Amino acid sequence: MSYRVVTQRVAAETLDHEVVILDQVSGTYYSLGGSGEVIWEMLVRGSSVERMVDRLVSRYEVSPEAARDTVTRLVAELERDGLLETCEDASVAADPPTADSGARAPWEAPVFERFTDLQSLLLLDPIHDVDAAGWPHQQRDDQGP
Amino acid sequence: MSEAASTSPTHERVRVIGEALARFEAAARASAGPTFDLTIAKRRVRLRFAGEGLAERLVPALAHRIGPPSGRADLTVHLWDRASTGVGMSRAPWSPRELLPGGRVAEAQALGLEVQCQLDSGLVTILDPAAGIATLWIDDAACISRHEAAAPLRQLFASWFPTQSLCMTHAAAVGWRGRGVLLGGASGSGKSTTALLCLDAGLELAGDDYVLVDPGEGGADPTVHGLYATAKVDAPGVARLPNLAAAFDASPYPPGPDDKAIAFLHRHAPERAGRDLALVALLLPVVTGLGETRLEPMSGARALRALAPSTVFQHGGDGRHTLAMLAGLVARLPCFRLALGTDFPRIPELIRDLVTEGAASA
Repeated sequence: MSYRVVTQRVAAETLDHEVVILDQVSGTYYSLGGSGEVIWEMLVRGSSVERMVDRLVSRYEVSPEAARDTVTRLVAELERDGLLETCEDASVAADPPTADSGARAPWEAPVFERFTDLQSLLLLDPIHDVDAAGWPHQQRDDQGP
Repeated sequence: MSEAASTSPTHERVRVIGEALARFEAAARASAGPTFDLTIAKRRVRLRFAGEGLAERLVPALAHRIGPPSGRADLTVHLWDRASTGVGMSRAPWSPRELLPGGRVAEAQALGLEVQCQLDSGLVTILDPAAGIATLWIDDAACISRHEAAAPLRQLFASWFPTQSLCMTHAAAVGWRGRGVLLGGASGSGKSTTALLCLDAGLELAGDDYVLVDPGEGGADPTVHGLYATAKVDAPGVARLPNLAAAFDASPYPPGPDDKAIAFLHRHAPERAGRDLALVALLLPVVTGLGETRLEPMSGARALRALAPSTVFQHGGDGRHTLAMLAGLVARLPCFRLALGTDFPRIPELIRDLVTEGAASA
């Protein structure tokens, strides 16, 4: 199974090994650190779960089972929030294996935080009234029906 | 020409903006208005008004940017109202059921236009970014809101300036002798209070709520441009700013039970308000309730998380471009948590010291 980021709604940037993710539909924003940065980087390329597990095992001191469990849990959370969608495995061709040289680093679990305090900024304005030319407006108190 | 060609997005875009411009020209023939040429971040923005009443509400916050008439403008905005010209807006080509964040009309984006509507005032703006042409229409200039008077054309600017690699940012900025700090954070974080305390104490202000940021792509130094020379505070806030009392007294927008007072600063602090500042740091204020005000180093990612979401979510549009610009800015600046204490006079001192230290080590 492969996943990719829903680019129509997601904006993300990485600084200091932490990914800041903005969901422009829900108004939720996220912080993703630890090995989550590596997983996100591969999700952006449309990687398969298998390839993400391989990458974590080659980079960190972690068993394939633990790496698979980590990827599965994180992907499920991101998919549930609408940030990911499944895609054909064919897109994996665009994601060549990445060799990590040198010794494996101590394992870092993903650090995933979700912030909902700004969701009100993204509430859509339903249009109830339009003027004579069809442009939306609110009926003012001093106006008749 | 085939029917398919006659209804292409390009044709439709030209038709929509063309009909709006034709309405403006009719309004200008009915009641001529003034034209102002603004210079903002070396870009020339021309405001052509028709009728009466609109300019006096929208221009004061931008008055510090008015220069002599120039030749070609990078963006020309045509503004009119129906009440004083008798000319309404051209017919809406769409019937949207809801507006996207920033009041944007989704159907217009498919044509390459940015169309934004304010439900409370009925204000409509259309921007053709490729042509550098925009229109702004409202039924009656008297319906211009306080928010619009304090930060006129904000949504229009938020759509256009990114095409110039400049980012309309929900932040304040203050400084000393041309060097300054950006104050980020969501509403209520203390950034406006901090900025206006600094202005009252003699520092320079780029803006207290929305500023234009040049993130320094291509090797330039990060810079903040003061777009609006205004101060916006509630009644208790006015009392904390004794040196700005004359500006608040002269304003047509006094504080109300649910309304902030707006002071227009271009006459009262012309050398210090709406300034451009070379940025030396990004500060994220937090009200602590403790006595001491302190600066604490902060990671770039945390700073980006505090600065970017409210900007991206409020203005809508291409959030990925906005976030990328702000990430570039954050990567170029030291970032600090500004733990705000109750010793207010200390806050401007701390910021002036920080900016001055930066100058000494530069």
